[in-house]
Amino acid sequence: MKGFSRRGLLTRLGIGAGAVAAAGLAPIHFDAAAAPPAPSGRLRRWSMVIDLRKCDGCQSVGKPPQCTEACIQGHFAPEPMEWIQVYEAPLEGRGTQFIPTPCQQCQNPPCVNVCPVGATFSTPEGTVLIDQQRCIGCRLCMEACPYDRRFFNWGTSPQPAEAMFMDYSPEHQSPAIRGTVMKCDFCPDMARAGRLPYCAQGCPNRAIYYGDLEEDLATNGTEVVKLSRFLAENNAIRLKEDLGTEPRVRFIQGHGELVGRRPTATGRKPTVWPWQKLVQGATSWKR
Amino acid sequence: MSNRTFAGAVLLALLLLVALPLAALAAGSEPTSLTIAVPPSASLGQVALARVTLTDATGQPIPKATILLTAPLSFLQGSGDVVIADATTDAKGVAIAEFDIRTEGALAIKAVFAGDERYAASSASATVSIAGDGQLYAQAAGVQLPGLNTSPGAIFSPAGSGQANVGVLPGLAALWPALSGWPIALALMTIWSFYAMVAGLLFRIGAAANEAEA
Amino acid sequence: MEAVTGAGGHAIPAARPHAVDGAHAAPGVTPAWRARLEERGLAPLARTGARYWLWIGFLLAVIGWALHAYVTQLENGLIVTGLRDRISWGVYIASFVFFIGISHAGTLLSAILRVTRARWQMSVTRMAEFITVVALMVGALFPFIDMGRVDRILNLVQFGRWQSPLLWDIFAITTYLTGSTLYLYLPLIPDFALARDRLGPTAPAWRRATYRLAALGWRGTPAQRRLLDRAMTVMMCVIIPVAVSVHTVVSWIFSMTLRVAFNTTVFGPYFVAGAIFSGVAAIILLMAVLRKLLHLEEYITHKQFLFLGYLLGAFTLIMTYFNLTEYVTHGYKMEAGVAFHFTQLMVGPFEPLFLFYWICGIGIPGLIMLFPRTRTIAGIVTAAGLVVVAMWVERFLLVVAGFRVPLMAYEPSDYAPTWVEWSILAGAFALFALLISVFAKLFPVISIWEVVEHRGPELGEAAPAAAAPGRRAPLPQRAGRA
Repeated sequence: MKGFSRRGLLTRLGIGAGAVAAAGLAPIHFDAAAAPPAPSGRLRRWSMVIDLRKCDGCQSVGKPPQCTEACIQGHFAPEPMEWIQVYEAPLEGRGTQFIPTPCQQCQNPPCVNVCPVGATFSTPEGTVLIDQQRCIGCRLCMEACPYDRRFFNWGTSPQPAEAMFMDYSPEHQSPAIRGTVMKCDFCPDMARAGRLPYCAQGCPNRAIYYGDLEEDLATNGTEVVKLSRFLAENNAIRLKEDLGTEPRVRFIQGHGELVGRRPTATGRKPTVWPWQKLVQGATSWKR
Repeated sequence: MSNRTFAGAVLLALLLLVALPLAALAAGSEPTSLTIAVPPSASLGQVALARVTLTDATGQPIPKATILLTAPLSFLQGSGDVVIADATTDAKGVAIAEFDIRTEGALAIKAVFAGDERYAASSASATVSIAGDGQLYAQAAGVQLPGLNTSPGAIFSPAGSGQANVGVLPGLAALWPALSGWPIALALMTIWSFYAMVAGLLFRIGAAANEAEA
Repeated sequence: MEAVTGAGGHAIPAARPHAVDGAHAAPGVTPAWRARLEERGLAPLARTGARYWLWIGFLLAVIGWALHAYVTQLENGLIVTGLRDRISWGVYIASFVFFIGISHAGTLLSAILRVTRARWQMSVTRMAEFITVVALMVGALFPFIDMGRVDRILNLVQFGRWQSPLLWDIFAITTYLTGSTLYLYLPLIPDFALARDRLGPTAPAWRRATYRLAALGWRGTPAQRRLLDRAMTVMMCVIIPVAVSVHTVVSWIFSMTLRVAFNTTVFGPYFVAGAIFSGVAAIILLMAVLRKLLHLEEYITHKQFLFLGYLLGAFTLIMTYFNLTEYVTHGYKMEAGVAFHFTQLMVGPFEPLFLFYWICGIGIPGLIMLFPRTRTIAGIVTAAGLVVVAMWVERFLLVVAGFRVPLMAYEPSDYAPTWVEWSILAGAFALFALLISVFAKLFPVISIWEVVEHRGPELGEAAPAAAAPGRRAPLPQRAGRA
């Protein structure tokens, strides 16, 4: 999967940057003001590209993976749920790579197919969401998910009391309800408001791109790319493609080489949930 | 070697030592000119061709030059010129770049040559008017089988209202599964009709008792 | 017919002539033989001893403890179990599959063997139908015990998605339970009529009314017989495909997912075979218990044990066949995850349970049935007991080891059931025993009229001490003693 040499990449990046500089093009800039609305009459089709060449498990910043931390803090994700989880997978040869794995937002989602009450469902935008108020806790979806991306509220989840004040919506699942399933919701409400999801915002290396397959654009907060071109030119792949789940999250193969990581530099800091005071009666558990 | 010759050689060496780096710095200073030809309009997502010609100051074509096409696009909070295609000029200095744009409006497509050791950068732009409003990315979740698919009760309102899952026809939600899942309904009805038959026979056993009594 | 004095001095009144009349009796049925059968069959309905109440009390205590465990689970959530995200199904779902499997006992015996007109099973067919209905009722509880939000159970009705394997389970089990109840009831009608006629006069008013109602005015007239015969034929034929589909559908809650251990097409037939296997073992066990307690040795002889034992032996081979198919077809290719799964099963943490299943569930029962020396009633009952335990272990292995195979790059988790899960499982077995005990008190455990009309005393049973061909030592058989 490493069809792209570092030199070739740098050349292209260099050309891109050089072109911008030399030819007086408008550089990509980010404006905190309200983002342009969705193209009229057309639905967004959210997707994500994670550039593994830039992911080093946050070894360079010496902290637990920041994508996970940002998601936990933004969503009040209960311990021990890592809705985006950074797996450390072995590489061919010697060494490991880090793979930040959110819910893959499958287009043929096994979880949606098996849910007996339709508590987990696909939206027209392509996001797979969970209605915690409908879930009966049978956990068929957890059996069906091949990516280990669904989490159950076995007990009263450790969440901060602030979580209790959030308005309920399947698009941001707080507070957690005991006896129901939760997972990454792809932050479509953030995207509609023109902001990147928490994980993309949190990544110090800007490895996570959030995009729209309908308008064919994606951004990681510092650059905007044409999504289809970005995927093809960087040989993006999907996880467990053989299973036919058709995920919307794609990965560009790598092991953090663009931020100076060697494959043999193993280990990352364990995730922490920084809640000081918890909801009464909360206890954590091991996944 | 005479003194004059030696001095000349040293001067030449010094000149070269100064001039060559200056010549290198002056590299990429040969002006080039870029022309771009695009169709005036295209529909949304339609693949269009941009014909770009790169020539030097004398009008000679420049082969094997990389041309980038950009368009001013915005996504989430980022906006600027996004690279949408690239191509390489052939022997005649012509590059044909394929591009498609999925944003409506009149966009100024820029062709950019970044320059190299010899030539200077240059750019050119032309406007393309993109029109259309159909949904381009068609996606159906799950497996679609004719006559066998999900109930309307599972449609979620995407307008950002943040409402929980609302069934389109909540009252019908209970009936709909039986209608769209007709193979299962058929199998169940077959079995239960046999049960009904047996229940009828039981009833008749009871009735036959009364006849016997009478 | 004369009145017969039952044990304890209760007089059981003579039968009315037209209830189960002599014209329909099988050859060899003497009035004395028949009276003995009716007395034995109706005895549990007529009187209840202190031992029975002690037994019920014990079972209620176990069920009470299980309820306490369940309330603990309701109050604190499923965190009180050993289940976690990685292994999210365990004892509850394994037990669900196990009990639904056992319910296939009745179908096999009452339906399949009836269709093939095997007469030897008629004395045990009622017990088999008991097991079916009770096992379905107990088994159907487990998915609800396992649910995280049981208070939202009605969502299944309001929002049910027919595409979900769980809904298929609900449809199938409901249909099967209804069918089995009907199929239990139909052959009970003449026996209820017998109870109405024989016990009714001396029974309290509510029991008299119950028998009369349940007997549906059965008089044994030709018209009624024809109707009953037709009804039983219909149910006999319908219940077989229903039963096969039920356990196939139960297997599909696993094989409709992409997990390495479950993503195989053989699960449907494999589960049905396992169900019949465990069901036959359950019948053998119940047969042995009730035969002893209710002195039914004259009607449930070595022959019933032997034939069911042969079935058990045959099914050890069938289970071996299915298991080997799985191991060979997956093991030859060694797709990703299969190596881990086989390693954990055969030489890893699950090795003791795996060996137990093969040795005690397949090997020893097969060997017991192979040699005439071990094919005694005691041997067959031992084999059945081992099979029942081993099949629960097999369900447990299937669920837990299947879930344990890692899906991504993480260390596999472990699962250790807690006291809550074990208590609820014990309560389920106690509930099973309780319901069987109650059934045995309400309905005759032997289908009296069928035995009289279709089977009768078989040659060689009147002199039970005579060795039947093929048996080494004569078994001590009790002659019909009250």
